Amino acid sequence: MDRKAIKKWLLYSGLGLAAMLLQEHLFSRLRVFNVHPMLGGVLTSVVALFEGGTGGAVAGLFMGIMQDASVAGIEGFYSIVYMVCGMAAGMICEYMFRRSLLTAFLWSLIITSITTLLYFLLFFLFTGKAGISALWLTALPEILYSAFMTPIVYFPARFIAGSR
Amino acid sequence: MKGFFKNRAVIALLVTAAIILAMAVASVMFEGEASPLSNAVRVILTPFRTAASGISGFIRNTYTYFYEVEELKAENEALRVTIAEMEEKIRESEQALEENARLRELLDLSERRRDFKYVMAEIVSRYSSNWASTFTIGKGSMHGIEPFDCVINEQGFLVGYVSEVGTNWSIITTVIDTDIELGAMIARTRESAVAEGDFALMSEGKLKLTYLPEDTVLLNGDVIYTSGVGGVYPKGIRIGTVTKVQTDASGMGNYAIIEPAVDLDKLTQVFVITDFDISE
Repeated sequence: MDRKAIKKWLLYSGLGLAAMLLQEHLFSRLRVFNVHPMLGGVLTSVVALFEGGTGGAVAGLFMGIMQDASVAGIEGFYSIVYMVCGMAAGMICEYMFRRSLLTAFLWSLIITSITTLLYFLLFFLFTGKAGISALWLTALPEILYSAFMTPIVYFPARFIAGSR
Repeated sequence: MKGFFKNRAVIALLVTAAIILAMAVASVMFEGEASPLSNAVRVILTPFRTAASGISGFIRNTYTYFYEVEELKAENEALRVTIAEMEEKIRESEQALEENARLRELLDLSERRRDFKYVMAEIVSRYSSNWASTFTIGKGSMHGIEPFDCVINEQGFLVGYVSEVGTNWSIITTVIDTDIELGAMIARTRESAVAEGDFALMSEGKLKLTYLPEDTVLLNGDVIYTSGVGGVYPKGIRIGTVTKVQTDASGMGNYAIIEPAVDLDKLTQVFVITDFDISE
């Protein structure tokens, strides 16, 4: 890995940390329909778009570890789901999609949907902690709110990736 | 695609994923204990969170200072009235305490409960998920905090419990989270029940009171305290007040909706009770 690549990944790490801190300190107070956006999936999709399968997996793993470190409960859920999603999104994007805000939005929507729905099914619906109504009361607003936050991650990531 | 899985970076990622999976299994088996990886990440993140918390606090305070002066004046006036009322209540309480102590002396009763031992902690991050009501404090095992320690605010109202502990951080699960289930007591009737979190009520910042004894008549405004049953929560800590009584889904029994005594959105610091005498 050359110096340029190290610098790029350090910047991505900084962006990930900033996204996480924004999520916890700013967006946690800007709640819409009682939810705040989850930026882990958004950043994973954006980095996957610019860096391909391996880069997407690394970004997913990094954001997943930070997200897992923020919530009590079973550790590793976000790390594995974000990593797999990032890898898949990056591999598909290498062949099928052009790098644009719309593509990033689409992948943010897909990755956040997969993560949120899996979390809802595994930890709430199947355990009886919440009913199906949580799907539209919490899951759907979380997915949409997160996806609409794509631009605030997309443009810094595009700058870091150096692709225009 | 074939080459992709021969890539050393991909193999390293898969090995990392396997380690995380093992840690996930371990986290299920050792509830409350943080894994080394998770602990390391949070130890590193805590200073950043503390700094971000300080910055957001500064920005919030500046905003409040410049744009909400009038509101603050009114609030200040209201607070003066509240303080006066509280001082009156403190005087009354002191008299009651003195009387109580005298009565105990008369009955030759020893003190039934020694003072709680507290650790004061600042909240460094909050609401990391839309599916749980938790926040992180900047103190952990190095400060004597242990899993399942009870957490209160400066007024002695129940905030929640310590659900996970690291070296210099702890995660607090609040009283409205779905994982909460604790023995409760209705102050007016001295009857026992169970206070528990409910996902639908969590978004409203409330919890519910279930397993009510038959023929219990609850009134709006009834105060609910911890019963101390189970030994996790000390007895007599105020949980909240009843705002509504409803019939459950089966139509066979009732449950009450409780508004927590503590305002979770305005909390900035909490007190973790690290030691207390169990009295059920």
